[in-house]
Amino acid sequence: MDDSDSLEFSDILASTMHDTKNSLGMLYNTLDTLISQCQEKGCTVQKDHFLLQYELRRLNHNFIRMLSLYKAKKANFSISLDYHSVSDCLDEAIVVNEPLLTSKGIDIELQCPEDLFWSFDKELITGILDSMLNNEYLYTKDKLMVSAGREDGYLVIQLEDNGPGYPDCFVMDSRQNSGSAGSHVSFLTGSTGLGLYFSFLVAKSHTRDGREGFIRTMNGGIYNGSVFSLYLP
Amino acid sequence: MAYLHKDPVPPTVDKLKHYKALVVDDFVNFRRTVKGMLAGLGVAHIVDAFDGESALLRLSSSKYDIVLCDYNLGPGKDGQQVFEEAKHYQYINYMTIFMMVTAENSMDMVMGVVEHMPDDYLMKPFTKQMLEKKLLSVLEKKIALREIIETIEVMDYDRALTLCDEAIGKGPKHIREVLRIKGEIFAKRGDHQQTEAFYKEVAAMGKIPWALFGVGKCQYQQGWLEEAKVTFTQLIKMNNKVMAAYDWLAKVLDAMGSPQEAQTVLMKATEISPRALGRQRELGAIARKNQDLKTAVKSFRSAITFGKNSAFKAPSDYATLARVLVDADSPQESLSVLGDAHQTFPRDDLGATVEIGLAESFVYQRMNRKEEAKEAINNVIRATEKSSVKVPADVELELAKALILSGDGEKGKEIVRKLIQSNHENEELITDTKKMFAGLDMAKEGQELLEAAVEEVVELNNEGVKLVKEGELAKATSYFDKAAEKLPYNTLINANAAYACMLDMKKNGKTSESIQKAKKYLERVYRGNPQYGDLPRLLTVYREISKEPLSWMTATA
Repeated sequence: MDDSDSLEFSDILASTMHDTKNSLGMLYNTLDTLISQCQEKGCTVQKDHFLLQYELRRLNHNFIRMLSLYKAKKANFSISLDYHSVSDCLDEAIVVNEPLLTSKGIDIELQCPEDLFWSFDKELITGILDSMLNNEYLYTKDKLMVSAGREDGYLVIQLEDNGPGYPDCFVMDSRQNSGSAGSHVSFLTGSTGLGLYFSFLVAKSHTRDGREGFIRTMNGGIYNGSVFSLYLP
Repeated sequence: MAYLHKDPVPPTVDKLKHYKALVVDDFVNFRRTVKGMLAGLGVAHIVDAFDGESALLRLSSSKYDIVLCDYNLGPGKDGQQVFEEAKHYQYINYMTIFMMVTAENSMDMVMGVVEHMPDDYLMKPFTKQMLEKKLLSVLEKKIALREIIETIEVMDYDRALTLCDEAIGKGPKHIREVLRIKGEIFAKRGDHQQTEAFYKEVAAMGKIPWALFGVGKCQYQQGWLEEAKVTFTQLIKMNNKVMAAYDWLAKVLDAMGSPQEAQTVLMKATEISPRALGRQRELGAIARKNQDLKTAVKSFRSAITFGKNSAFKAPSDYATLARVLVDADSPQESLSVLGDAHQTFPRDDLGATVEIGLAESFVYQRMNRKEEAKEAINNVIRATEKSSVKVPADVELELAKALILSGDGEKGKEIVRKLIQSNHENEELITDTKKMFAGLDMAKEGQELLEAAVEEVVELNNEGVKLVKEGELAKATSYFDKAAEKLPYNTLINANAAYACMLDMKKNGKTSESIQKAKKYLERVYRGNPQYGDLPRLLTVYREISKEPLSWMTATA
C-alpha cells in the first residue's frame, strides 16, 4: 500500500461513526413510529420503548460529540453566530425530549422571557441542551426546571432537577480551570464527564469583548437537586 | 405563555395539505422516512431526489413549497450549492420553505450569508413533531413578513422601512429576520454610509456574520479598502466557512492592487469548497491577470466540469479557457475546447455563438491561420445580423475588437459607437473601451469616438429635459418617444421618457395607452439596470398615477 492509499485511522473511525450514526437515525425513527402506533393502541410495552429511545438518543449524542471534537481537532472549532430567540431555542430542545420525560412522569417547566434574544450558535447550544435533557431521564426524580435570563452581561441558561445531584467530582466552575480544562474535574469520567467537557468547549468558543462563555455545575437550586448553568457572553 | 403580538391566526398543519414537497438525500432509507413524516403531516404531493443535480432538475421543472435538503449529498453538489443555485435561477422564491438537513452541527458546513441562508436547519435524526414545529414556525414567519418582501420587490423602500419598524414595534418575535431585511433595504437604497451605520449597530449586538459582511461591503463601496480588508479578514477568522467573505476579500485585494494576494485568498477558498463554479471562474480570471496560466487553465477547466449538465454552464468559460491555452502555447488543445463548446451550446444560442466564434478567430489569428480567423468573424457577424437578441456589452466590445484587428475598422467602430450610446453612463464599460483602443494603438481615435458618442446622447437628453422644465409636457413626451426609439437600450433616455410621459398624465389626465407607454419605458430601465438610482422614485410616481403594481416586478406570487 503506498501513501496515497492509506487512510488515517482517525479518518476511518470518523467515517465509520458517521455511517453508524445514520443507521442509528433510522433505528430512532423506526422506534418513534412504533411508539406512536403503540400509543394509539395503548400497548403495555411502552416503558421499554422509551428506555430504548433514551439509549438511542444517548448514543446519538455521543456520536455527535465525538464527530464534533474530531472535526474541531482537524480544523478549528468554528461556530456560526446569529441573533436568536432564546425561548425558541429552549422550546425546541424541550419538544424533542418531552415525550420521553413525561413517559416517566417527569414534570418540565420552562421559564424564559419571550423577548430574550442573544447572539450564539443555535445548533451547538440546542444540541447541548438536548443532550442534557435526555440525561435527565435517568437522573431526576420527577421535576425539571429549564430557565434563562441575563446576569452581568451574560446569557444564563439553567437546568435544575430534583434528583440526587452531581457527585462531588463533577461540581465545578469552568472559569476556575480554564487553560487546563479539567484540571480538577475529571472530564473523562464516563459520559457525564465528556458531556460536560463538550459543553465547556462550546461555551468557551463563544467570545465577546474579551469575555468567554463558561459552564457551572452545583447541587442545590430550587428543587435541591443538580444545577447546570451555561453562561454565554 | 400569553404573548402579545402573535399573528392573529398562526398557520396550522392544515395549511400543509396543498403543499408540494421535495426531499433530497443520498440515503434511500432516510428519504423514505422523511417522506413518511411529510405524508403523516398531510402533505399530499411528495417527491424525492438522491443528489444535488437531480434536485435542481426537479426544482427547475416544477414548483415546490417545501424543500428538505440534506447538506452532505456525496461527491456532487452540496445542499448549500443546491440552495444558492435554485435561488439564483428563481426555481424557489421567498415563500418556498427551504430547510437544510444536517448530520451533526453546522461546524463542517459551508455557510451562506444574508440571502443565502436557508430558512432553518434540521439535525438528523428528527421526529415528525420536530419537523412539524419547524415547518409551521418558518411558515408563520414567512406569512408575517410577506408584505414587507412584496413592498421591497416593487422598490417602495420607504414604505418597506416603515413596515419593518412597525414589525419591530409589535414585538421581538421576528426581530432577526426584520433586521436582516432592514439592512437589505438600506443597501438597496444605495446610501452606503447609512447602511454601514446600521450594520455596525447590529454587529455590536454580538459579532453576527451577516452584519459584519454588510459592514465590509459598505466599506468597499465607499472606497475604504483597508477597512474592508480588515472586516472580511476578521469574518474569515471567526468562521472560516463563510465562503462569500473570501470572494469579497479577494475583490478588495484586487482593487487595492494586490491581485497576487487576491489569488491566494481564492485558492484557499476553493480548497475548502472546490465545487463552487462561480469562484473557480473568478480564480481563473485573477490567475490569468497574474499570468499564472497553469492555475487559470485548471480553474476554467473546473468551472466547465462543474457547469456541465447545469444551468450555470457559460460559453465564456470555454472561450476564456481557449484564449488562456493559446497564451500557454497549446493551440491544439485550445481548438478542442472550442470544438467541445460547439457541441455543448445550441446553434441558436446567439451569445454562445458570438463568444465561441470570437475566441476561435483569436486562436486562428495567433496560429497565423488568417483565412480561418476571418471566416470565424464572418460567422459571428452573420449570426448577429440574423438575430434581434442583445449580446452582453463585453462580448460586443470583443466583437468590435476582432473586427478592427481583421481590418474591418469601420464596422468595428460603429459597433463601439452604438454600444457607448446605449450605455453612456457606464463608467466601467467606457474604461474598458478606452483600454481596448489603447491596446490597438488607437487611443486618440478611440477617445474622440467616445466623446462624440457620449456628447450626442447628452445633447439629445438635454434638449428633452429643457422641454420638461419649460412645462412643454406634450412636446417633451413626443420628443422622448423619438429619442427612446433611437436608443432603446439607454437607461437615462428611457427613464426620462417615462418621467415626461407620467408628468404629462398628471397634468393632462391619463389614458390606458399612456400608462402602457410609461410601463414599457420603466421596464426597459429595470431590465437595463435594476439598481438604477432614480428607479424607486419613478416607480412611486407610477404607482400614484396608475394605482396598480407592475406585474413584471413581483416574483413572490
